[in-house]
Amino acid sequence: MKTALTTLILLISSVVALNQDSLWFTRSGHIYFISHTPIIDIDAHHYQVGSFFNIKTGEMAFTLLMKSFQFTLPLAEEHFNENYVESEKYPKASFKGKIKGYDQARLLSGDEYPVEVEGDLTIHGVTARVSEKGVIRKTGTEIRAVSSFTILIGTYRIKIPEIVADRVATVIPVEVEMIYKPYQKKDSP
Amino acid sequence: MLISFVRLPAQDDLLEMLDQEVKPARIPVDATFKSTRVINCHSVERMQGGNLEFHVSHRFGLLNSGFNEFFGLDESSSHFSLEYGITDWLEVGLGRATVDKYYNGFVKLSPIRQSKGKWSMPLTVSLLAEEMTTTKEYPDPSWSVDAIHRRSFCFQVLVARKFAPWLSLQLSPTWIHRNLVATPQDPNRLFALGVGGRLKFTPRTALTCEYFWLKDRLLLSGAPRYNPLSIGLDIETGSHVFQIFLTNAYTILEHSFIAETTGSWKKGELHVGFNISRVFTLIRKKK
Repeated sequence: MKTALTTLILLISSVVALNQDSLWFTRSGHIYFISHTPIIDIDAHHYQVGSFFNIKTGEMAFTLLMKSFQFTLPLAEEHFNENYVESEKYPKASFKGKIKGYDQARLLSGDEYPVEVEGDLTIHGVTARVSEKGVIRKTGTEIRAVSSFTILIGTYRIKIPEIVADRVATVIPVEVEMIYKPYQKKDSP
Repeated sequence: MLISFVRLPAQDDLLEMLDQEVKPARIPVDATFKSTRVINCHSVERMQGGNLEFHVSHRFGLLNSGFNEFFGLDESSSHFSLEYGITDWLEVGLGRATVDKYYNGFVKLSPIRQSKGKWSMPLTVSLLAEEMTTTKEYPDPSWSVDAIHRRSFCFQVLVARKFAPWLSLQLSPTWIHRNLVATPQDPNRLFALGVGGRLKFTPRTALTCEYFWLKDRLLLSGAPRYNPLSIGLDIETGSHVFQIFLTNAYTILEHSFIAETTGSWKKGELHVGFNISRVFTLIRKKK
């Protein structure tokens, strides 16, 4: 009986440990976007994107605070938060999805692994099903994931008033770069 | 069975786990006011670092002056200023007012800014120190021997809170010092308490209101003074903010609109006024 219990405890802890090992994490992911028009370019960086990547299942999750976008044009930051994405009302943007046809062995090989991630992207309180291409690569103790895609602001019901319509693009290119490290439960700063 | 049970908490929702992991320390509360002025009075807002504001204020003549004066539009008092954000919390400004040919310069800093999150702060506090100098020629040249007597000063502690995205309120205790007053009985130092607010009713328009209570109003010689009350509308269009309002104050600088307002709401002595703000970004923030 005692042996059985020990085995059980061992089994549980090993499963938990294994499970923890499959999770990779970052709290300092980078996202960049630019609204390009002939009149003005408005761009912003975000350096505090949080993300989990489950290397066993290929699941990915991202979250970011809209207010933490740093604009090169300071006034744009206020307009972005106050008028367009309404950051008080919808403080976060998030994504949850999975790599299509995920093959863990290909990631562990250390070569570049072109992937397509499918999932739900939520911005401005509106969730849309998206599928975007990217590349992941494991090098030593890091996994680097990059992706470039575009967002149609109309999809997320972000309204641009007519008066500034020629200054704000409706198609926004976005670049994502994540450097994941193995997840440790207590890695708060 | 057992394995799936153990796996659940970690795997079920990566997003929920993320929310636990990624908690922001401080989220600043932006746009307590959309302009650097509530109406006449400075708001807690200032230009962000690297931004230059060209601010134009205009007050027309008395609305009740009749058709021949085109309801006050023939006459006006105005103030132009350039206001620059050295950093996100420090602004300097230089301006010129038409009434009595005043120049003014000010420093505005915001040591405390409202924020949410782990280190939250319920209020924004901005301090304004301003000097105003008249260059008007006195009727008798012997009056103006000493340049120091041409100066007035204003110090304000602006305390504001954005209660909701649609509601911001500001308290503005104000100390004014005038180096030259009309009679020996007139106090050089005056205290006034201002209150102001902004009520946003569409994403780009807001109702604004502002009132100053001048403590020693009745001690001032000359025409009776009234506490300035203004009611207006903020209209935002991209990099402009347009403010249009009704006020009983004709002049624009602090020492004057607070202490020298002779128009009365009761008698209908009102002025239509507007402020236009145009912002230029001189230095873009580094990546």
